[in-house]
Amino acid sequence: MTAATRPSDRYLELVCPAGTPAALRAAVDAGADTVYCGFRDCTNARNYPGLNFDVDELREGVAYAHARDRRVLVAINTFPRAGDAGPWHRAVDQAAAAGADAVILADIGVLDYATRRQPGLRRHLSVQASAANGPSLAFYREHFDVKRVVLPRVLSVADVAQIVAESRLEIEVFAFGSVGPMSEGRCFLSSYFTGLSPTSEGACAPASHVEYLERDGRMFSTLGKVTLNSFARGEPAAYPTPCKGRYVTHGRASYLFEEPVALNAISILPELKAAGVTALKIEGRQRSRAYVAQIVGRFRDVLDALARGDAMPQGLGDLKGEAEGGRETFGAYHKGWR
Amino acid sequence: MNAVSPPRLTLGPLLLHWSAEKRRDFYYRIADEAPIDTVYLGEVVCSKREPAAAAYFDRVAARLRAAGKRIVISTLALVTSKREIGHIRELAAAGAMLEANDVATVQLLAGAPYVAGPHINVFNEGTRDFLARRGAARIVLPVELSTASIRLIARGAGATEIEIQAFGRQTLSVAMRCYHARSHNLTKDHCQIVCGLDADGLTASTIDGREVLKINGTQTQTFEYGVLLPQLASLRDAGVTHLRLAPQDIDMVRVADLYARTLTGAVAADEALAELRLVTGDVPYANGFALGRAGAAWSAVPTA
Amino acid sequence: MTLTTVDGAHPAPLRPATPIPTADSRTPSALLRLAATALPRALIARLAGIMVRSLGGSHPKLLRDLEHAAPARIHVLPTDLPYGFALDIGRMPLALTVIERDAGGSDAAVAASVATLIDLLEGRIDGDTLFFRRDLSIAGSTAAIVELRNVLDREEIALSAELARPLGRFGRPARGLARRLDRLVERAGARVAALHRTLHPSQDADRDTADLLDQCRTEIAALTSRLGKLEARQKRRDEARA
Repeated sequence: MTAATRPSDRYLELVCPAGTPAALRAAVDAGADTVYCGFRDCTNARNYPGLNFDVDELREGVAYAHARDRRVLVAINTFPRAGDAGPWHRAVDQAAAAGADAVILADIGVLDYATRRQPGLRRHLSVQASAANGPSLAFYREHFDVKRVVLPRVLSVADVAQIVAESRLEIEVFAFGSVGPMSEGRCFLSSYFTGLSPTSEGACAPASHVEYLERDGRMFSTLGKVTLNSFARGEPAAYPTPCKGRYVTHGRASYLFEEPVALNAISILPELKAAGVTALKIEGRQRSRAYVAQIVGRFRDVLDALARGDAMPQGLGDLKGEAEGGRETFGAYHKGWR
Repeated sequence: MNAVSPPRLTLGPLLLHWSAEKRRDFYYRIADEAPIDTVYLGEVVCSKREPAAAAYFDRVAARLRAAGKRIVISTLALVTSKREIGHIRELAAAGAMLEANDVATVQLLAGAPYVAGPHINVFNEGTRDFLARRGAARIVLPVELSTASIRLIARGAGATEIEIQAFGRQTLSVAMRCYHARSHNLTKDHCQIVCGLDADGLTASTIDGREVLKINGTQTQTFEYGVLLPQLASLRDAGVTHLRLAPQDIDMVRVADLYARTLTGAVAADEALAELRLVTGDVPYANGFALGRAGAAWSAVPTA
Repeated sequence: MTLTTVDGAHPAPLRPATPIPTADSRTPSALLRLAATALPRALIARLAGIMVRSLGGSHPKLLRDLEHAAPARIHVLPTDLPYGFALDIGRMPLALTVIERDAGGSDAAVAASVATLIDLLEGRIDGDTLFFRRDLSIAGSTAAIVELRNVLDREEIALSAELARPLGRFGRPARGLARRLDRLVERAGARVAALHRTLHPSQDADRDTADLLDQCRTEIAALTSRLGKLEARQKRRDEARA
């Protein structure tokens, strides 16, 4: 097992996903400083069948992490439907009772509730709140005393540096995983096709509405009966989300929004450190514990080397094998992405 | 709450990119002829379009005011650059009534009254109340909400006005990337403002030929026109105070007139739909979000 | 139901009549791969039953999650076996049966090589990764497959332990058998790997392979009868206790 680094010695805090109790243990064992997870319902943005934690599992997960001096964050990052805030309020209370180190929130109403009812529970702002500028961060700091903001995946390293300098908050950025090109928490594409809202029901491209069909030697993916994509035999596949679909414009089919590709910022970690970032987030609570162990382990090795003052280790950066579409990108961190 | 008086019509911000002259002529006609209470001006989609809006802004605003219309300035949905923040700061300092489409605008207004735009996620009473306590005089609800949710939020909104888009393409996403530019193999930073080539948006079809989306710069919109005519009575009963018509490249005066007559009961909802068809050509309609179904779904059956 | 084609990224350079997995032959799963590809179908059916019953003792929570999942019949179709499995989740008791590859009546189907499916079950590989690489294909209810995948990933499962455990105090001889098989597989693996290296398999190589397969079959036959006896004794013991 890799030891966690003390906050003071840390190069960057490594925040890792856990969709299941086994993935939480895998993340901790592979060297995560912090693990984030969610409850088994619509209160989090990875509400997929068979995934996530009940209250007892969360308590056990927190105990496992705390025994090894790691932290557990609970994502309660969807937006309650009108007349139905109960599950979200309960989730905040249960996260506090289970000993979670912080909650990751997006909805202003839920933030307000948590601030009033669980003032001692540390609050982070979820990427789902899509706060991408100084004044927005100031809003959440002033009203809800959030300690950390997870920035949307739309900013360049220079933008990030400016926000860090302005905000006086801990900044967490995405370092690996699937890239959503749309402003998070405000994308209604999936519900336009399916009627289920990622925003308030927590599942983009819900499995119940996804189908794969074989036709003319190609695999077609459909969402709510709308054809999103097709793949030739052996061609790397994408998630069946609307933003990774192929669409025809000007008579030409293309990945109009985003190619099937995963963000991998491992080789620009020194740039992110220099920008003043506090923490790195690995995406993928919907992925298995094998993925978690592999990606977290790789980042741990690189972060440990950088913390020792070593040069960026060669050959550790390539994680294409695990990436959506088998390809990697720096995403918005480099200006050309726009 | 004024459940008895019918909701008023508003004209949402122009989300498409039209030339300065086309904008001027459009708004002059709205000022002179349309039964509209509030006109939202200002750029929501991309700050690179702002010069086209600024060219005749003063004359347009004066003509609208002279016609008795209220003016609200809408602001960007995705704010990242210093220049964009500076622009909002100037508007706030000038005392204009703003529609905030990003929490940044709410913060920069420092408690002054404002309209919370549809890009600020007000999905529930808790968020409504928090914003209302801090200056939200009106809340434009996100297009994704069902009439059931709208009803719950409108009920108990007190003095806060509630608006929902009742006509026009619904915006499904906003992004940093410009998809209009990408469709031309360009990037946002070197886009040549190609969004101006499509006055009613760029159609995106599935690979098997179904028209599903409209691209509008950094926005993605429904291919269908959102039409909540079958929901008007229900929204009125719910206490919705304002209904938004989103400008499309069609005769918006006639659309406004039709909605106004439907609201007063001068024309029945089904007759109104038949008449609307004459204005909108063969663009399909959708009201699935209002029905609590897939957004692309459509039903002409009136919602109770 | 149509099933999308599975495309192995790296087709094996040598294909013996009965495929013998060569990779990583020291792990328990190598044994399982061999068992799955070479054991008679009747025995596999019995092993499947044993494994499901065993789950209640070793992973009670997992069993409960599977029993309380949305009801679905999922066909698991190893691409390198002449038969498949039907797993009925969302019902009590859970059922895992052996089926014809072209059997109908499923809500969903998942197909991949035996090795891939075992790696997936034991949590050594990520399902999405396999999907991105097209090493795994699915058809029918995506929700059922996603739920099954996620529930199985909630706890650490070791298939060989699942098979050995229900044999109770007879588990030890079963593990002894497992070790013997494991050694056998290791030998087989080493030999086949050597064949790979020669690049142009000679007739000798073919004979070697044939010998190896015969040896495997003999051992397997012995194991089959041994396991059958153990199973029967266990059953009697269960009945006596009840």
